[in-house]
Amino acid sequence: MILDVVSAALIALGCVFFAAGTVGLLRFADLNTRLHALAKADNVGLGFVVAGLLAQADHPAIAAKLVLIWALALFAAATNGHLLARAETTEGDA
Amino acid sequence: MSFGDAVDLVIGASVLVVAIVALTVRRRDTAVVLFLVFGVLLATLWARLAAPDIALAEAALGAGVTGALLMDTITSSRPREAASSRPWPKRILGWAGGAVAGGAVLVALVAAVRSLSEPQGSLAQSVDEDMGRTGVEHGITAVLLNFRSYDTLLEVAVLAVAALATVSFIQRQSPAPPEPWPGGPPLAVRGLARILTPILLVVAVWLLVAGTTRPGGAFQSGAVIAAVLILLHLGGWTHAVPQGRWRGWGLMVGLIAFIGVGGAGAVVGAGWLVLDPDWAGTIILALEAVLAVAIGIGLATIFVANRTDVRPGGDDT
Repeated sequence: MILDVVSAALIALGCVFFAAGTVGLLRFADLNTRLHALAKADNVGLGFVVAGLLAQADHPAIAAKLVLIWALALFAAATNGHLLARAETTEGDA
Repeated sequence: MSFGDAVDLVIGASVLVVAIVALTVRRRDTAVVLFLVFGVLLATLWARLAAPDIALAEAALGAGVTGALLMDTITSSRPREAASSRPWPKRILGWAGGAVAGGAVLVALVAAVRSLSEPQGSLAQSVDEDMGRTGVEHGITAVLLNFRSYDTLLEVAVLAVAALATVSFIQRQSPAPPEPWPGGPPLAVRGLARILTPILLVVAVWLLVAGTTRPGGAFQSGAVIAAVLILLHLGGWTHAVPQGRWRGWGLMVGLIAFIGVGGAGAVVGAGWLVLDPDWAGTIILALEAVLAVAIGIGLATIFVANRTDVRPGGDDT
């Protein structure tokens, strides 16, 4: 019971961060600031959602897989953000 | 209406909305990104329909490999084409025609589904009853690789033919595959390839072995292997995807293995593609391993061949 409440609270907090990231994506001025919103806010939101799901996991292997998903999402977001910003910079220079 | 029904309704409606917007938006890169979102939402929908194998395949192949192909195409060095400039009356006529045709097909489908009697459940039951003879414990894998393995053989043949067709079509225009990055791959991509390759290989093997008892199997594992090969290719190890002499063998190995298993069954066993219950589990796992590698090589070859077309050698504008 208490675990369910903790899960719901953490997942709700994660959704708040996702909403903040989406608002940043829609309202920020240029590519770099939007990437900042996506790379930071969305990944923290995903971290909170994963933390909420960790409270529901009944086996350590499932918990490890959830954390692995979050780590892989972090890698992907970091690389994508870097490549997008880099492409915009080289395009602007050329 | 329960909460689950409400969630299903929201996901279904958003799938429709995203599909319509993806087809009508003017910029191509927006359309591709919306197609990726569509793939992810569709995977969620399959999961809600209690079909995790299809959800995995949709996420890996639809949103993953197809998304990579489309992204690669729109970021080519060709000049961006202007938004379509057909006159408005023609566009509205096209829209109306499409809506009418789509509505008619929808009405016909709904009528057909509603006229079906309640499912008797005998097919799923007979799969469960005979599962002991198949060598695996997961219904989908038993059907794909044992009961209906002929269908899977034809699917593998289709993938091999598609990959060969893509390769031979592109070959005419520029024989040598160019470097993916003109100045060498950036450190972020090299680092990502180094970090992700061992992790993804473990995930691929896990998906392969998990297919015997739970959702997973050759196609999902093959999609992850394709991702590994594409990542290595982009990270600078251009020999990860077989080129030249080995490419033909790489594309055909899955088909050859499958036909070999079927033929061995015909010669020394009970018949073409009939698996002896004692060996079935081992044969299925080994065959799935070869299929996963073949699917991975086929998909990665299509991706690399697509890149070869859009970046002709020496064209640096």
